[in-house]
Amino acid sequence: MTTSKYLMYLEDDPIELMKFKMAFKEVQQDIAITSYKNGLEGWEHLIANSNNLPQIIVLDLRMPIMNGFEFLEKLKSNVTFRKIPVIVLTTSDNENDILYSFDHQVAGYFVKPFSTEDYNEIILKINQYWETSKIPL
Amino acid sequence: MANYQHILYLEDDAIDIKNMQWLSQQIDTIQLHILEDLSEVDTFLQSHTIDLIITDQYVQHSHFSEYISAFKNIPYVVLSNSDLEKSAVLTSQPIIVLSKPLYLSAFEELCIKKEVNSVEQPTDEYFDTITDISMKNEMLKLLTEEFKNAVTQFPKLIAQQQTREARNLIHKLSGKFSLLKMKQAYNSSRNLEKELANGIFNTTKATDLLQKIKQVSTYLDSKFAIHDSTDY
Repeated sequence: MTTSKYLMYLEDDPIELMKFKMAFKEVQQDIAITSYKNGLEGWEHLIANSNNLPQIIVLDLRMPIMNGFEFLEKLKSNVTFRKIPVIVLTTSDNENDILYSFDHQVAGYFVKPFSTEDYNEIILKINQYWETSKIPL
Repeated sequence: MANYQHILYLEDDAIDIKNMQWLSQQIDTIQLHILEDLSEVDTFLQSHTIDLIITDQYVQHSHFSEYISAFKNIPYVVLSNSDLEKSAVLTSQPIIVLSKPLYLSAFEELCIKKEVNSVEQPTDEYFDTITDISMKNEMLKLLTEEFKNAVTQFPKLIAQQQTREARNLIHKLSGKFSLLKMKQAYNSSRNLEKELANGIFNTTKATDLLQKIKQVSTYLDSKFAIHDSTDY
């Protein structure tokens, strides 16, 4: 990883990943996307790159091996990593999932919508957040 | 009142005929006519008014498409055990392809709830907007494989009432229905996933969703699988 600024996306579904990349590319061409298929792979990336952490993590909740909740718990328990803002992007609109996520200090929680237009709008908002918010280095 | 009252069913299998007779008996307004030989369709339609034709893919070893001109402009549905042959897709345009056995809910949806031609169809509009051809091809390939696998796996999960595995499978598919602009299928899969998360396995709903999965698989297979190594 040579890029200093990048987004990490944890998503096990390759089609969802491609959909995200295409939508993100429409609004932001300067930021790299690093992706992993589950929480464990994402966690291992953080451990191996602790001097070059992602500025933001976009997180799916339902993944094999280590799901989004387990990853979130691990991340927020770590002094070095817990400052990385996490945005949940999921199909789940379950109230418990939302509560659990905010209990673990997520920066945002977005439910994947049916229409592509609405999905692109969410990606635009995530990018605007990235561009306008102060993020700890 | 049914939108389609006079239905002609083209079938040579006794069990399938019996099933269709039972289905039509569940709806008072339906009048079912049955022919076991496609060569009789032309003569039959000269003396009968038919709103809808439901045909097996093969009747007495003849493919329905060989007799498509006899159907005139009557809307028709293909009901088959196997995928629709690609040549048939290209030379004739069924409103929808349904898999056997036909269940009452699907039959009602076909005949009562809405016009046949408004039965939800997948579209590739989303993929038309993708300018990165290699990514588009990769997405379509994965999508085709995923639905094909689901057609194989989901019936087993239904039969064995495997709640967790069924939930995982449906969870992955719901987003794909949105890519194909299938709102009803998307909602059905979301609702079923929620029920499965609560430990409820509704076999009827699962079977209805399986029909939609098969419909998409047939669509993807006929539309994209034949172009495996070229641009879509």
